[in-house]
Amino acid sequence: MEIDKSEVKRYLRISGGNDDGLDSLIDELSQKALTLLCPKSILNRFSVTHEDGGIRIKGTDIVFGGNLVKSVFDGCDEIFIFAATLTLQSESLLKQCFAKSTVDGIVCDSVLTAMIESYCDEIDDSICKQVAKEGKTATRRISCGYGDFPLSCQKDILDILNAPKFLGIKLNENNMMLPNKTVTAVMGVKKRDFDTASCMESNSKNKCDCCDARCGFKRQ
Amino acid sequence: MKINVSDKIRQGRFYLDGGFGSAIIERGFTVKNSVTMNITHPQVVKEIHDGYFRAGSDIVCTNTFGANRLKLNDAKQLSEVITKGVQIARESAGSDKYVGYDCGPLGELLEPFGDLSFDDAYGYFSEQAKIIKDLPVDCVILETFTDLKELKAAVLAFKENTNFPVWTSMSFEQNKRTYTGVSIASFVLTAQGLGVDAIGLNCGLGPELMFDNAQELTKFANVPLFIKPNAGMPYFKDGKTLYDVDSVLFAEQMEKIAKLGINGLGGCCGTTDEFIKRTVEKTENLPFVLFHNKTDSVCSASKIVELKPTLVIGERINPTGKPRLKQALIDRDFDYLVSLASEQTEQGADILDINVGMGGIDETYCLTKAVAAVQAVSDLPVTLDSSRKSALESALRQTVGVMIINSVNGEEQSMADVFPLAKKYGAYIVGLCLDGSGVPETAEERIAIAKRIIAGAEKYGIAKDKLLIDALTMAVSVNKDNAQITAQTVKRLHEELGVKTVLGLSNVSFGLPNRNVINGVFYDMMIKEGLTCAIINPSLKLDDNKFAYAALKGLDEGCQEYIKNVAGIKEEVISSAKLTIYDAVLKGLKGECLALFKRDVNESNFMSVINDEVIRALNDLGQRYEDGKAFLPQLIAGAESAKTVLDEIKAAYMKESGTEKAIMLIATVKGDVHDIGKNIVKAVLSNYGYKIIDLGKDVGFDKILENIKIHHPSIVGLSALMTTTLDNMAEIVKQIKSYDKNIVVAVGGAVVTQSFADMIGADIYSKDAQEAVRKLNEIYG
Repeated sequence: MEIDKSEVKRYLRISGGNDDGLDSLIDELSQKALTLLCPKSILNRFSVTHEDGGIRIKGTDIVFGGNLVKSVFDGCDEIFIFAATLTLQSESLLKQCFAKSTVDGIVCDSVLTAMIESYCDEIDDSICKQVAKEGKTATRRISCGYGDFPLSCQKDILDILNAPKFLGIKLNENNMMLPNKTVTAVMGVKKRDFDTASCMESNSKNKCDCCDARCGFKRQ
Repeated sequence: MKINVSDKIRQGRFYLDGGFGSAIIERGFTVKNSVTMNITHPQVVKEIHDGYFRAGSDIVCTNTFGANRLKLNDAKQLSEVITKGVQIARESAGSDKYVGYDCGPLGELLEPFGDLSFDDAYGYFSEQAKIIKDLPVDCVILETFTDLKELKAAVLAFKENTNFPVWTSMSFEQNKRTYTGVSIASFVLTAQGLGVDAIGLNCGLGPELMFDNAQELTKFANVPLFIKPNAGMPYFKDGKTLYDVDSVLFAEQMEKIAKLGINGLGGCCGTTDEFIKRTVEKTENLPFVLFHNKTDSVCSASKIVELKPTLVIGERINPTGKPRLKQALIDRDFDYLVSLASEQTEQGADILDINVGMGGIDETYCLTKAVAAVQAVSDLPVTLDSSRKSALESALRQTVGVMIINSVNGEEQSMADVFPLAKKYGAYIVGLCLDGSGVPETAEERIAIAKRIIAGAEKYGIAKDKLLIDALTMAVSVNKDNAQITAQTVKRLHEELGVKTVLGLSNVSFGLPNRNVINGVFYDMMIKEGLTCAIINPSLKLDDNKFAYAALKGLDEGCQEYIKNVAGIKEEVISSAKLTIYDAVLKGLKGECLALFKRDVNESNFMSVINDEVIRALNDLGQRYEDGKAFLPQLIAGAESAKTVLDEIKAAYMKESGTEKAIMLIATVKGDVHDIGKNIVKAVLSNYGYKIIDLGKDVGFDKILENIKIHHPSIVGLSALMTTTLDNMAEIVKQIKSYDKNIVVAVGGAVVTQSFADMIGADIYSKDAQEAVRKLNEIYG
């Protein structure tokens, strides 16, 4: 796995200009994070049915609702759900960095964000390859909190993956996950349709183009 | 009569039960709220226990794994579930088999990662302990913990509220860590230190992958061991969790574990009575081992440090002669203390001494908080340095790992205070060679006191291995023989009494110029005499001498350790005589700022340093940032450097408090955990005379209100990054304003705009930290 320095800088909201000190700090902390942390994930594939409010995981009472879900998973009869985390060690590393200095702390925070995204990209890629072998295609991944995909679905997602037990992920009453550097995501599987190439296939680094969430880190 | 269960497991192969969840799923129930089945389906629960006893289990665990108040809100129901659970298991066990009261983790994370406090966790476990104390249980089995602090709360709760033996297990991953980072060695040493009767591994892995972890366990254990693996790794099919190892393969793999000599065998998730039956068949005639490892180590949750020459105990967390640390302790601000811990860890200390003893503070509160704060950022074991029994006990309870108490002395009262604590919490103890008559002037007398301390320890059941005797360092400027007396004492303690030794070194050079020279040579002398631990400032790099000594003594092949540890050390010196504090702040040179403070700041010029150098540099840097000539990290590095100087000046020269322009609460709002921006605003604003109280992230109105009532702030600053959080921000602003319309609310964050701020009734919107300074200064400047 790699940590993309330009992504780290995007999270730090730095555009243009070079600063050797900063570059070497990013390198140092990226190296540290990659050596120290063992990211973990859990992935499963589910059949879904479509209903008015959204999609339902077959054989359960779990329904993901909202317009985003409906539009992204239109035509999908299966979904992949995954949870990925940098584990609590990432929380320790972040605390250690903040104890050293605020600069180390915020740079580390950005490094870890870039790292978990990069890890998710790897999982995402492996799903795309897997479904491609089956002659199918995967949609882009979306997470709770994107657009109108409610954060309240987080609990169902974690529970159906048994993520609290196997990855140690906890959810608080505001649906915030701990460790903070944790991502859950859903990807749809559908028949390959060459007229509408999925976002993933076009370029995994341009995910922002097809995301309608108003997020502070959206690429311009 | 049936023998005690902890003796039973010492006497031969001992079988525990298998999974409970899998057994109830097999019978068509769900694991959710499975503990209530003790009331609703007692027969099913008993059948499962019966099955395990028939399969050959010597003990079953009660169906009470999740029976705690965080999962069952009703106290009466909790008591019923537990009582009934024990009753069912007892009925099944009869008089010749055993019942273990099963207690799992609470399911919430403890501080510092989560919100649950140690005391609350202890309270939840105590509640269970009090329910079972008179019930027919043979032992308590604390299962599948992943956090050593939570495990400690549970062990203490059951030991203090019941008389049952306590067995403990944790869940480790393949990398030999729990997911909170606890190492197997730290688990074993800590649990043994707390006096548990058996130690095990439980859940997480199947028997094949657990083998290595089991082997690691055998390297440190000196109590009986038990292993309860899952039926392999889980996989999902049609919404169900299944496991990939069957009972035949399971038994074969358990045989390998049994051959390590481990005598307690059982199963966890996915295993059933069939698994136990086959395991019994495969292993009952294999020999077993009682492990007696001699370990002489202290540890944190993740790191063990063997107590052998020569270790460096970092001395800098001690307020004596440090006005800035004193002020921080008075303010109950542990950030500075944490930075000292972090620095010393980086500088190569092996252990950290934590001393917060000074007048005018609550030492019990501060020592306990300080240890928790230090352990959140440093993986080093700690020394709890206090003469106050209540402070020691409170900190000992919450310190993770095996620690050192500093100190006891030759007085009966001191020994009566400290040794029982050391015994209960499994701590090492520093014994000072002094008593009520003061510091003896001869080595002979100091040795006599050391002997008295060793004998005293024995009376409390503490072996001399647990002692580190301090031969005491006195200033050589006061008496020319002082260093020699210390040297002789160390030598004799080492050679004649065979005890470990410790010394606070720097006192030797008290009153002399260029103290590091004296300290360095004295350190060398002491290494030669066999000193085990030196309490010093690790930034002085005195410990380089120990690597040099080892190299010269022929103990370091190819001088490898010397090269690894000594080469390339950067010294913090003032790079140029012309460098001013203004320059150092502008360039973000934190270390130099500190050096320049010592060189250039005094009683008469400190106000002009603040205004003409520090604040001017910050303003200039801010302007360069706004002009796009400086970048964010430089802005923050400058802010941090400025803070270093300002904190030193404040502590040294500005005694009166209440000099700040305004108090500001700052938080990332509920539903959002992004706090990069908030941290930047905090770093910058705190240099402009604002006292910032940081409430963290994911903060709702309740916490803000609670802190408004405590701190009476003039300003509340709120940050949000996600669109989904904006509603929460609007709601919080509304509530703050309806509580007190005079509180100035400042908002910011990536998705916040001026028009949004206007719409929700915030007083100030700023796009970044510099703008926040400018707009707040318009009001408070």
